[in-house]
Amino acid sequence: MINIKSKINKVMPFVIIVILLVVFTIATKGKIFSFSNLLTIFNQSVITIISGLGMIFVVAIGGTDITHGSLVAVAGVFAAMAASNVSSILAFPVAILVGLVSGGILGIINTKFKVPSFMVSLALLIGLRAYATWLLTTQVVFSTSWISSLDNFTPKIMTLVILGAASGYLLKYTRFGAYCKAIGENEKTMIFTGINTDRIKLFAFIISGAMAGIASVFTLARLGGASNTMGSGFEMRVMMAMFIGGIPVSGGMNTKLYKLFLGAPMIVLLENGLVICGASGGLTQLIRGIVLLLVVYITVAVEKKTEVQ
Amino acid sequence: MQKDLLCIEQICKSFGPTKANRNVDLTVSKGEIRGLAGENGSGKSTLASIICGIQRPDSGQMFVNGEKYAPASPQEAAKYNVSMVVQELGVIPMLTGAVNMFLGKMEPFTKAGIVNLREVEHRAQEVLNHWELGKVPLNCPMGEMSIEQRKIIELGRALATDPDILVLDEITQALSHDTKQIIYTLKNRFQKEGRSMVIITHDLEEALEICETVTVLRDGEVVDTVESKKLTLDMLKQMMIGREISGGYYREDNSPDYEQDVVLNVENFTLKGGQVSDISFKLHKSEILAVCGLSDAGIHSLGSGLFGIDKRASGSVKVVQTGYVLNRPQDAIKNGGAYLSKNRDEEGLMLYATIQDNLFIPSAKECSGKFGFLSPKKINELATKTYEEFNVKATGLNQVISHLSGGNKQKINLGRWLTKDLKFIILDCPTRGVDAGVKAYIYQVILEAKEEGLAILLITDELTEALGMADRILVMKESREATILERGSDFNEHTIIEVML
Amino acid sequence: MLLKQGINRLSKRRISQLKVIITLIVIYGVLNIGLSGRIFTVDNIKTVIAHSIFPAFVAWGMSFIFIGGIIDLSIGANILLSANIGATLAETYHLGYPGLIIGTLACCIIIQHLSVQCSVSLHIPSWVAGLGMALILEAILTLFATYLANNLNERLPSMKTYTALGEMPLMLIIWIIGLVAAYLLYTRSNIGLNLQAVGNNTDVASAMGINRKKTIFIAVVIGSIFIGVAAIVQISYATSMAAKSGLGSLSGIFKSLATVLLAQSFERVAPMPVGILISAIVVMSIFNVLTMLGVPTGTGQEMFLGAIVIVCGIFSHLGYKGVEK
Repeated sequence: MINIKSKINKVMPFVIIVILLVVFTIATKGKIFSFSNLLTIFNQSVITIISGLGMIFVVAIGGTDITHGSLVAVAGVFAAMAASNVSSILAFPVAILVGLVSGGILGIINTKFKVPSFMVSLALLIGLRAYATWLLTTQVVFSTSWISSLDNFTPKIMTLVILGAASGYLLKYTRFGAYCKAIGENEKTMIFTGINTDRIKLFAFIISGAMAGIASVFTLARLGGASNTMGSGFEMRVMMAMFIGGIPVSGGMNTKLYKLFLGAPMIVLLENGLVICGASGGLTQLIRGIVLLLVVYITVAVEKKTEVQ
Repeated sequence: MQKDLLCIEQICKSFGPTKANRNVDLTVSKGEIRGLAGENGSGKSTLASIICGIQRPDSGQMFVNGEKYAPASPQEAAKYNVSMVVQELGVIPMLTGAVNMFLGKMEPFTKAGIVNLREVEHRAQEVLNHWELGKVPLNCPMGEMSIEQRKIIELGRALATDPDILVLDEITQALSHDTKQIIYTLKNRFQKEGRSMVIITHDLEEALEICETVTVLRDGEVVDTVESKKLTLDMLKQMMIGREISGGYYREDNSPDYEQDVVLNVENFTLKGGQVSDISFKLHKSEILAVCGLSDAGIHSLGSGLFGIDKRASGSVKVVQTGYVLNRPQDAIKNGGAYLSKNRDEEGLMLYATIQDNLFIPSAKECSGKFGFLSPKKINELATKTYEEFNVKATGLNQVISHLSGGNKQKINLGRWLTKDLKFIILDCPTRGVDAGVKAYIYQVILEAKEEGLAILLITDELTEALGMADRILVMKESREATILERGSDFNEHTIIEVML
Repeated sequence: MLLKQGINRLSKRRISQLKVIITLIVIYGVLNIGLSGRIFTVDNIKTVIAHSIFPAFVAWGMSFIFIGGIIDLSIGANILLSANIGATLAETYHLGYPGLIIGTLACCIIIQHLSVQCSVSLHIPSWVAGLGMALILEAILTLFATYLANNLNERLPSMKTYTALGEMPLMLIIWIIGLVAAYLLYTRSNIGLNLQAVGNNTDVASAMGINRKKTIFIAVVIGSIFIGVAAIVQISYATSMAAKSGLGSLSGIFKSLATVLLAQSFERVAPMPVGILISAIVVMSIFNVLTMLGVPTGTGQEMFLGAIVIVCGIFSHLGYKGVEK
């Protein structure tokens, strides 16, 4: 018996990539393949993936972490301040710490107080954005030269490889990753299997926050400084990267890392292509919304189909 | 024939491999008060729900007053003046008693979409008065009322439709001594007015007292329908049980056979919700201790409570070898324990994951190595070993389990635990929803595990299973221990049912 | 004996209600003293009440929609779009009040229906559907605004002539009508009772003969009407509503979300519609005090907004024993 669900899941991202490439090559008359544009796509994909390397654990458990956009801003401000005022070495540790704390708060409120993660992370999204704006009202924060030096091919590739390997290892080859996915499949069953689901979920949220922290330093590098709009809309891009790649909204065993690696360039390509075609911000957002609904619908519909059989 | 109010012919209903009702024939005449008796799983509730339109039969026909009767919903059944009070509570806690009585039937009280609550309350009071159901507050949210009061409201709801046939499923269970009078008064009224009642009850004495005739079901079939005045309690019990225990299914021996070493020491165990009170026992190595009781006696809560899912109020569960007191599920697992809940699909398995995934998760720790490395090789070995050992019938380890039969799912459910090095296991209805072949296989597996020293707590609804497999049986009644029987002369259904009721 | 038990329980409820009222009075009293009497001035009370109307109506709308289990946050974007369409019909096309009212309400109902169908029929999890719809609706408004700017050299409509619904005596009347309507519909109408049943326990409700899909459909229509009224009042009061992007519309209804969650937490003490009214005033009072304390609106207050939603969320889920994603 053919396992149709896994087949479609595997094939979908490739099909979409081909469609996107074809459509945009025609629409942009090949401009999309200019070197500078490819570089832009690369840069944006890398940051998206890095953030996703953490968020994927939250998606695996079936939860939601929609804080990354604002978290990148807050972490970025703190990282830049620490780097400018003390030392550049502190950039990453500080950013990661901020991310950890945010993820921790999200995790505790979700696991201890049973408030849906969507609601809490949305509240954090709004609150953190306000916090970042507040922090920047009295000062302008620039990146140090060390941070700016990160905006290069080598550091990005290296970070991507190291973090990607670590995250992939954690997700696929450790108990923690297996438990995360199992919780996404059926949390009740995991409780009955004697697994400390609260602790696993908390760690998932913490890792998600930490990765956002790392992404924030790279965002700082690209922008040259912290601004109160940095990371705006970033969380949607990371989430869509995962869903377009074929990761189910409810997580579970089909949460695989390669799907993030496929989905990130796809969403970046989509947005990038639209920009080159001259689409306005409004049109881009419209298409983003439609794509989100479409992609999730297809994923859910496919899963449902295999149920009824 | 003209006096037949309800006529049921050859009704059959199956749930997967379980045949709940087999060729059931039943006739109830006007003004007859019929009792429906049988053990857990004899098919009483299924039959009742078919009569009231909650379920559809697979085959067979029904007639009310000579007219063909095949209700697709309780609302359709109401059109034929058939109503039922179900066993599980069927009220909306947030709403008041009066509202619950008429929910879904509010048209007569509605003007321009707004319900005249005062009139509803008035009418509800009328119903209570007319049928002498006692005084129950009608404008209080049901969630704040006692189970008794809720049951009376449900009874009121069923009676408000002026039924010719009223089915009561285990109603006296929820009522106190005083309020049971209500049922007596009610049945007299019904008899006088030519209405009929079908009363399902575990309380055999009560059945004989209230009902003029009793139908006994056993394994989904009708044994007989006899007038109560011709029956004694013993005769009734005999009819309920009297089957042969098919040989080779269970154990062959006739005396308890377990080691002296105590694995689990349970003392004065009481749950916060009160479902279990003051239970004490010792579970030994190589012992199969069965737990039996009526559905609300607390046997299932005992299982989840001991494992640590429900909160303990007092008492203790101790693992004797290490002295560890168990509190949460992680504790039980750490000390070589396991628990198989009776809700296999919701609490035991990941339905949309593969066989391999389901098999290895409980043993994830054992499959891990250095740096937390979860070895795919070890996973595969473990999964393959269990898969083959338990003879799972599927296309391979990568098959998603949602399409497997109940029996195969249960094999996976059980196998994933038994493949570990366990000291004790709590099994809740391990052969539920499983066909005979797999049932026999599971018993074999359990006996083998027993041989190897596993201490087994077997919670079961089926008396025959307990009698067939256990060294000792703990019988629970109303959340407490009624007695503990040893395998041997005490092991017969008479004694158990005696104690259970 | 059973009756006596009932009476005791009823008075328990009255006592809890009294407790809540007294606590609120005490807190307000203390704050008033702390802020040198600035809270209990007529002007201030007027302001707080005027500001509570919008979240109250949105919360009433949410209460009808969320009960079916559909937590749809595209409501904010729905309001933006519908309000602007209504304003366009009223001012630009000179259709006056009928244009405003019918236009806004019709849009609200249709859009909300589409949004809910995404969850119900397409089986997309309601939060994702809400996000997707929010993005789409915000974008539509943005595109409309851009079109106006580029082609007609205009901005999004401003309410100038037909603003009576945003002014005091009428606003208060609408508010009271809203409360009465919400109360009647929620606690005393057939649909409200059925909705509570479906929300409480779907299986029991079906066994009682209540059609879940039909009930949710009607509830969504009712909810959208409340949301539509909120949109009308808001655009009349503020004269215009700018397009937002990047999920900015969600923060617009955050105060309403906090209101609903808070009301849910003391549902046993006061029925939802009343609870929502009280919660709306409480939530807006909090921001009233924050403004008085000089906490800046764009930043500080937004931080409190996030925190308040989380706190209200915690309150509303107290005693919840289950699995929550």
